[in-house]
Amino acid sequence: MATDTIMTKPGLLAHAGGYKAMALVALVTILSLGLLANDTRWIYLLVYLWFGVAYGVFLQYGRFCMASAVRDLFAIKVPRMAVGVMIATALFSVTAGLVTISGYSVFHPHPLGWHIIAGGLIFGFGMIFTGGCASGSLYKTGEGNMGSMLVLLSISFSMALFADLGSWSNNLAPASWATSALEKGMPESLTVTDGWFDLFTAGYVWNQSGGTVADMVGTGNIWVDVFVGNVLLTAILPILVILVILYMTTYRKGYIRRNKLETLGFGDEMRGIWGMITTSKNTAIAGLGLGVFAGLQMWATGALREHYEIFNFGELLIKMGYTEGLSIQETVFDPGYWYITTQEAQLGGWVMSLFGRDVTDNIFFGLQNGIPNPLINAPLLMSVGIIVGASILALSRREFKWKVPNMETATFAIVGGALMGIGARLGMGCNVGAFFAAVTNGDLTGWIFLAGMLIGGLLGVKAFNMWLNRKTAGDEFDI
Amino acid sequence: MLGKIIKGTTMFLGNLFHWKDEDTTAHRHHSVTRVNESVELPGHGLVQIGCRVECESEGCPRPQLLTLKALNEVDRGVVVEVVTDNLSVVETMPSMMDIYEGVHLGTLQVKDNWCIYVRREI
Repeated sequence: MATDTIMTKPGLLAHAGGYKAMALVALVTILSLGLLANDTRWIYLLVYLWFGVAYGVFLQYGRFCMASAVRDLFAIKVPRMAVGVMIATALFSVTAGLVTISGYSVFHPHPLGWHIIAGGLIFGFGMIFTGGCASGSLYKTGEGNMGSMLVLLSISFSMALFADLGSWSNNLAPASWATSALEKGMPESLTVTDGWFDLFTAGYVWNQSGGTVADMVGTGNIWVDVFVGNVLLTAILPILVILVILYMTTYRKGYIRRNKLETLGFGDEMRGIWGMITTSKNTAIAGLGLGVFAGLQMWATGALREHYEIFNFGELLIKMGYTEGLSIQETVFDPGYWYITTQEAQLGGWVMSLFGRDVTDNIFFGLQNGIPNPLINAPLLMSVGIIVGASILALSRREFKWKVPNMETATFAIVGGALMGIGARLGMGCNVGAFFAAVTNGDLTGWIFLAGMLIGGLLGVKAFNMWLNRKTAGDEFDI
Repeated sequence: MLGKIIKGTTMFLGNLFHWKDEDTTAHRHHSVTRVNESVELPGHGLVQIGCRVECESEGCPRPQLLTLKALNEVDRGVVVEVVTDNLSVVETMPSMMDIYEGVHLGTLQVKDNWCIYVRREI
């Protein structure tokens, strides 16, 4: 059986895309050098930007997309992307473990509660319609997909609006949240009892606790705690179970048919599982790269914080004379690791503030993240870096193409993107921050978010299929 | 590049205000057609194509679902050509044939599109 893939891959300089890719690299390099010439402390921001570029390259190379993983699994029963994502998660857990042991981990576990699964469900439902998860939409934008660009805009503004819900939404929150929120003693400028999301944050989320499995193992030996708790128990063992389930439910039947096997021994089953894994080779390679670079980013940011004696980029911005857009704690959003959605919410909030809307009276922007100018918003530049990195690789591989969405795709992008934004804020992150970064750092809420995302994805696929069947009902197959 | 962005934005706004793009609708109605053509595929020589699924500008999973539908409709041994500009489809199709009863013969890049060749086996 032949399964050749014949795609023309000319040398980098044999086509215009190669020159454009090199021009992009040169542009980002020159801008980076210019910033460093201005003040070497911009290195903190440039670390985000260049890690973003690396993520973009790997995401585009492996077509790394959680929406594809869930959709392919439920719609056409192909586990390729899901397997790739699982392998990436396993590999990242090892590098994250090493970073934790080195003492440079900047990861904070998420509070555990119903909001995680609810957020995952809404996010998962929305991403089926947009055709891309948070990271997938970024790399697809880098490939010239304007529909994905719409998704990003929709996510940005839906999150900003959701975080800044007005008084009308107060009645949707239980009275106990308002009581609990008042007990937190927040500054009056924040109006924590005004707006559903503020009530949800101060009155509910802050009452929940979280932790890592390494903390639970607690032997006192950091190597044992991290590698047994965070890496083995939280990531690798569940991933092995998931791979076996994926093999048994999707891949095995075709494997038996293709190899004309009648009875399967243990060796045959292992070869089958290995065959399933190797069909996800590109995604797995991308996962390896993402895992290594995500770990390196945590290490680099941690080392820079130690060097500049800061806990947050906001402190460095103040030292450099930039005070606008900081939170009342004089901080900005600065996760120190691969994260996607909060910085996009900041962009939405910053644009809204340009139009005169005060978004700093809520906890999300006012207390926690601020709304810095996008040009000095380090995590936002990481997202820009992802787009640029994906563009560089897509151009160099002749895979860049401007794609204009039709009305149906645009509507799905806007509505699905809005749902993804709401889900991301409820679940405290997207497929990257709430799942990928969480699971790999020993935070079990990541699996809960994934469970919600799978349920939402399954419902989304069913709804999408209904829509597709309705749309194609009148189509005649001329065959 | 700026010109392409402006053109793209204009096309999008045109779609927005006219709601329905006639060309796109027409394209969708003729996305799966019987053909009698041949193509030179490295490793396979001259291959006769019996059916073409045109999915340019279509997002996932529509191209995959249309391909499965086409494979169900054609006779055993017939080669189906799937035309797409969606890289996810290009990547997914070989794996999809591993699961379903078909064979992925190869993929050719033709300008901005990819032509994927799959054959019904059973």
